[in-house]
Amino acid sequence: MFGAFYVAVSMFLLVGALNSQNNLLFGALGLAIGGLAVSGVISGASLMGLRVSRERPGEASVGRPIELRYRVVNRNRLVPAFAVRISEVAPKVMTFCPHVGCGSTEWVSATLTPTRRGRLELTGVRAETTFPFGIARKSVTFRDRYTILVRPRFLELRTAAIPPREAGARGVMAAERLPGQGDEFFGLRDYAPGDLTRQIAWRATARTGKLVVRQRSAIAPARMWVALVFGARDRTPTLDERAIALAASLVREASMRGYAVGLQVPQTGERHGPVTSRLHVEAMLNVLAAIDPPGGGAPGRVFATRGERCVVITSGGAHGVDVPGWAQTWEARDAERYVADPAALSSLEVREGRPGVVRGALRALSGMIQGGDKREGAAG
Amino acid sequence: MNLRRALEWTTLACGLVAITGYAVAARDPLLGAAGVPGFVGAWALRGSPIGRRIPRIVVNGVLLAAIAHSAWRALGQGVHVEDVASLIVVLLGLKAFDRAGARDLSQILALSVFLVLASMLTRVTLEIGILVCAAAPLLVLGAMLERLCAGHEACDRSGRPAMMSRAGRRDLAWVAGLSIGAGVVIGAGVFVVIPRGIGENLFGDWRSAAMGTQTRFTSTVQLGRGGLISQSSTIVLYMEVLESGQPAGGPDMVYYLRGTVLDRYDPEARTWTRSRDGGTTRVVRPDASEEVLLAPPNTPAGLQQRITILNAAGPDTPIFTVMRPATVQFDRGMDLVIDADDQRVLARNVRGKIEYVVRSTSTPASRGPARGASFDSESLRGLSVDILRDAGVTPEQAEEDRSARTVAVRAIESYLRRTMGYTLDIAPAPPGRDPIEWFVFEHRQGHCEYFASAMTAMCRSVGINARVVAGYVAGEWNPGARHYVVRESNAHAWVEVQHAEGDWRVYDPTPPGDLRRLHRPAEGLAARVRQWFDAMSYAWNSTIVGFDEGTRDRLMRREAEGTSDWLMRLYDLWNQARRAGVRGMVRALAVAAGVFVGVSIAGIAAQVAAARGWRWLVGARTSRGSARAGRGALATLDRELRRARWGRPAWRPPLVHVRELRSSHPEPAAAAQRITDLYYAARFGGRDLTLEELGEQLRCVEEVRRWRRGRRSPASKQT
Repeated sequence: MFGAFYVAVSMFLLVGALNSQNNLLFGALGLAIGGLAVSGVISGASLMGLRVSRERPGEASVGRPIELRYRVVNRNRLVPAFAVRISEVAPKVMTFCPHVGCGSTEWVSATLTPTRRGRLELTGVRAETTFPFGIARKSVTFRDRYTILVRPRFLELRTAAIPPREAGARGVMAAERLPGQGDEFFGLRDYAPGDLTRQIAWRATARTGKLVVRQRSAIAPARMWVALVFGARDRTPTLDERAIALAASLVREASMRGYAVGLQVPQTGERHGPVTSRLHVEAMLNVLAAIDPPGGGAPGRVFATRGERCVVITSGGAHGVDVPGWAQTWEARDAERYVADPAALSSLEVREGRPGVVRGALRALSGMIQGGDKREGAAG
Repeated sequence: MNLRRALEWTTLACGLVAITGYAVAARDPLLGAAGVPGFVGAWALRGSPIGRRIPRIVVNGVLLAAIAHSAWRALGQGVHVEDVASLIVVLLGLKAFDRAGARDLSQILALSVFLVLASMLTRVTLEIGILVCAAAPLLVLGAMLERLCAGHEACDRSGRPAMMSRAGRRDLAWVAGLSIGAGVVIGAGVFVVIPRGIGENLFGDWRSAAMGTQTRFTSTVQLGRGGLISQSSTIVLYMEVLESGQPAGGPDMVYYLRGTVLDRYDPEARTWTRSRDGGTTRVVRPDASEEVLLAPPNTPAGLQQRITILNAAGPDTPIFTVMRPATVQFDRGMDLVIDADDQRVLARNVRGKIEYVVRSTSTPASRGPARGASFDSESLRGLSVDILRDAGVTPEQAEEDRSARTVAVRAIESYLRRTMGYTLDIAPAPPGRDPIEWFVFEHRQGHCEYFASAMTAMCRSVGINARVVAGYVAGEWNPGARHYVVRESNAHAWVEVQHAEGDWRVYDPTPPGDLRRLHRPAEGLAARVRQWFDAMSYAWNSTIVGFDEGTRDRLMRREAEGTSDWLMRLYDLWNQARRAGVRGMVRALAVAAGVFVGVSIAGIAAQVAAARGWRWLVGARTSRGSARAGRGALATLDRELRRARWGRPAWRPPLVHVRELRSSHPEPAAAAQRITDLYYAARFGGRDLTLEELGEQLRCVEEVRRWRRGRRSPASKQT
């Protein structure tokens, strides 16, 4: 816009100066041409020494903004960089760096809100500027491939929907056969420097003649299996996404409540046993992030020991899958029953189709007008 | 620095400069008085509670009305610069009120650009040059700030203002200065290189920009009207004087510049006009720089005047010359109307600046006896006869004898000077009464036109042929520019008396004291400032505004001669191509393309060489700096330790590595510790190592090397 205006004014000056032979217009034309040259040189020179690299972003989930931080280094010794627009090649993320001094480094950040789970490819970072007069647009692209695994949207579950820890006969807060910080007695061992005095078993010490301390058993958390089953009855991609989001939300919520959560997807063979570790939970969420729902109706079996909590989340029913009798079944179609905010489910709608002919053509035209990059560089 | 605020202030300043400049250019104080407060008011109103309450539809309605009004005017009267400029001023006010984001501010900047262009199209005086010089940096800064604010607004939706650090501000000033400087240099080059005269009036005759106010010089003298004679200080022309090739003129010298010669008096109309019965008028159209003869060939010319009329207007512009012009030479071709009898020259249908050189001769061309003359006024004749009698001359003697005529004319001149009073504010002559007689016998007060008329009439009444001459008195010497400045207030009328056929001499009956007082330049600080401004204005007009194809040709030729022959040849080739037409143009373009490719290759080579040189220089400096910082010794230490299979990982700081080395290899640890300590002292202590310390580092390096070799030798022996 600005560039077109500049060119139009310059053309007017040229015509006006030639037609009227007015020397002031000739002077103004000279200044306009000078400005054009200066604009090209300065915008090119300011990008010449610029290096932009992306800091590795943290974990991401659908609908939750993540911060992409960029390190902008200007190695140029003479020309500072101004009004640098930094964007991802794909997806559309943009931020702005007003000034990077000669030889200095700036950090800028952009916010990216993933809209769908799965792998989000960041192929490179582009820095562009139209400074100083908006006439010439210069850009440079730095190849910096990185894949973000976007986890499913976390839904806030109703408290009543999550199985209570106290219910059930076995496994709930049971003592583990390992030493730990629980309340139950585990055994005796020799005193070691650093042991608390109150842990010393004085009777045993008196009996054996050497210092002996009491050990307590570790707490065994309640175990819960989350099974994700893809059925064959009236399945839609939206229902699949709902089921996956419910599974991810339940895994996270149960883990936060102290459950040792396990995940199994019988039809794909994925099975992660119930463990309380954070890394384990993240691994399960990553599985759910990358899962590709299999064809419906495949046979399978949900494994669970009696007394363990087991929630089977299905999309399109669980026909053909062997489910334990005591397991709870959550149907994705009835997701409103399990989530606190049913309105959040609308964001899981999967729309299919391509952009219209006009919009597609406009996009292509826009791409052509924007033009290619002048230079490509590797992220420094 | 808040960038948005800076952009707002810059835009406001741009708008104000543009509106003020256009008001000055258009000589429209009303526009200035209404436009500037209107713009500032609209700007201030935007932020006020009243402004926020004005609905948008009102703004759009006013905008629509302004556009419709301008369109209506354009349809009726055609497109004129002043109409477009008025519309722009209205739009500026509306936009100032309706501004929201950086985009709106950029539109105000764009409108300001158009208004500055309108000023340039209207007038090309120094004031407009100053306006452009003031507006250009503001526009550059405004454009830069607009880019910053627009980028911020596009990427940051939080509404936080765009800020810039102190370092950023400094860098911005540097880049803005660099841009302006480079732009001016390139612009000056383009200004000089672009050929003039191509495409003139290609799209019709656009109105020429004025170099100054159009003067109201009339080719008649009308007597009997009352009122004040113009005291306007508007500059009409500049005049440089050369005598025998040397600069002449000064504060004590006064020159009479003839504009028109009036030899017929109409008592009914009370007006002096030119008689049309001469039959010696010719119309010529000389080429640029061609001398036009006004006197017989080979007339010796002594006084040379270079005159610049700032703003010719009207169908016929008098070409002012000092008495007895022999030749005149113009800077461009134009139609001239020349009267050989009285050497009066008119330029026909010329507007804007006229620059010419006149060579005048001091030798009258006497071709025979003077013609007789008469004036129908018995009272004036009676008075003249009395004056002549007092001088010892009879009218018959004055008519016949040259010396007696001189005495008679001097006597009349002296009589008028002695007995009449000078005034600029004269009462109107009574109805039915001849103004000359009324002046001489009753009122006895008048200005130069009355004096000149009276003397002409009195001379003619006793048979001496005389005529009134109207023009300017050049008496205001500008020592800085070494030229005369002639203003509107310097208009004057005097008398030429014929002594012989072709020999007319100048007489001025106006009292000399009054004449000096009237045309004396003003004094004091203000006058001095004005003088300086005039000098600058002259320099501006002669260098920038007056830059034409001839000047360009001379300049390019001189530059080409100063550089090399091939450039000169190239320039000649270009001129030939221009004359040769399309084929010549194509050939010239081919040559230019070849030269361009050659110059580009040479430029790239030079750039590569410069880059390598710079790298070498920087590299050398870095290595010197490294040496001073003790980095070289550290690098050697690292190499030696690596050879000893105790290499330092890149991520481990040197000091930590040396500490670990101490536990496993205590022998070289002390030396390594010393090297590292010195490196740290130089690197983080902000000082260079002394020569002794550098020597110590080298000794330590040598010690580590010996340890490494000694360590290696037994091992090699074992194997």
